[in-house]
Amino acid sequence: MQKEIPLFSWPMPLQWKSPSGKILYDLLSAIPATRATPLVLFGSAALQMTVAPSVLSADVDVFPDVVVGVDSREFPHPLSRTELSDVVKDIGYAKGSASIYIQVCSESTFEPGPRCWRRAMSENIGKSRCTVPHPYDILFTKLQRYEAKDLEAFQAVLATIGQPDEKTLLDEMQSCYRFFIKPSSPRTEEHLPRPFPLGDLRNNVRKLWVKLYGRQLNIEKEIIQPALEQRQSDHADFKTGHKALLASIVAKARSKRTL
Amino acid sequence: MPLKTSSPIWRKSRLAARLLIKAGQGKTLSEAQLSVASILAQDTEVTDRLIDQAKHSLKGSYAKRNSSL
Repeated sequence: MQKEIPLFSWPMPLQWKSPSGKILYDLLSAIPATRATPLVLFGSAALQMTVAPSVLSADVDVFPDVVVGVDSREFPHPLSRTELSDVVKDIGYAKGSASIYIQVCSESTFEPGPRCWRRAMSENIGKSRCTVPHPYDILFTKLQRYEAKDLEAFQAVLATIGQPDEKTLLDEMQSCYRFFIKPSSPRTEEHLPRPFPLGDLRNNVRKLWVKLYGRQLNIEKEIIQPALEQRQSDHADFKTGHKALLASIVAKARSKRTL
Repeated sequence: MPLKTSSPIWRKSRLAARLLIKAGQGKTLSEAQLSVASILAQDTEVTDRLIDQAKHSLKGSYAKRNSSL
């Protein structure tokens, strides 16, 4: 009998009673109303607070969101990363002060695909705001590192919500196919932090596919090529040769007249 | 100030498309039109992509005009 896939609807209520949720709630409540700050939650804590409560983590990764346009009226004086770290220290959740601690990161730590911000969900606590990216985006960013615990997160999400299935994940990968294009020169890992010298997304995705879906994935044929074909059909949907035809019409007409 | 409804490049592309349509209908282009066609054929701002868009746009506007009659 086929296993019934549980319904997965998004956005969903954030689990503020989960271990990560309680800590994050404390942080958001501690931010003064005059310094209301939008935060983005990512990493395992984001999965724990949404689709996979069993995903455990020692740290709650957040970064102060970039405030632009209309949000600058809502958050006129947001806390900087340093100020936010000070608040974390004050409430006793700095690294080394609590079993589950808050790590205030920079925005660049989180490198999701292009769909991320269109499907992120937000919830206000007091005057501040917590934005949580979609689980697929959280999982995708784990692929840069892909340690055993990252695979565990994929398996936990799959076991809980029955997603992402192979087709869905392939579609996700195709939407950010640029990440998978093989560099023409030998890859250097200078853009990745030192703890992840093996952060090769292509290899990591191949390994993930075998573990998760039990088969070898051909990145060129199944991710890059379909994505490029789609782009090609969108960008090159026109006939060529119009200018050459115009030039030949002129040349023909003039040669007739000179005869 | 009046709002610009089309860019110079787009106008040139439409002009190229009109000349192509006219020639395609078997009509003879005047010397002035041939001069313009010659300039447009060498104009790097006018591309095949834009001429193709313009041809479809003109075809669409003719069709719309005829259907409303």
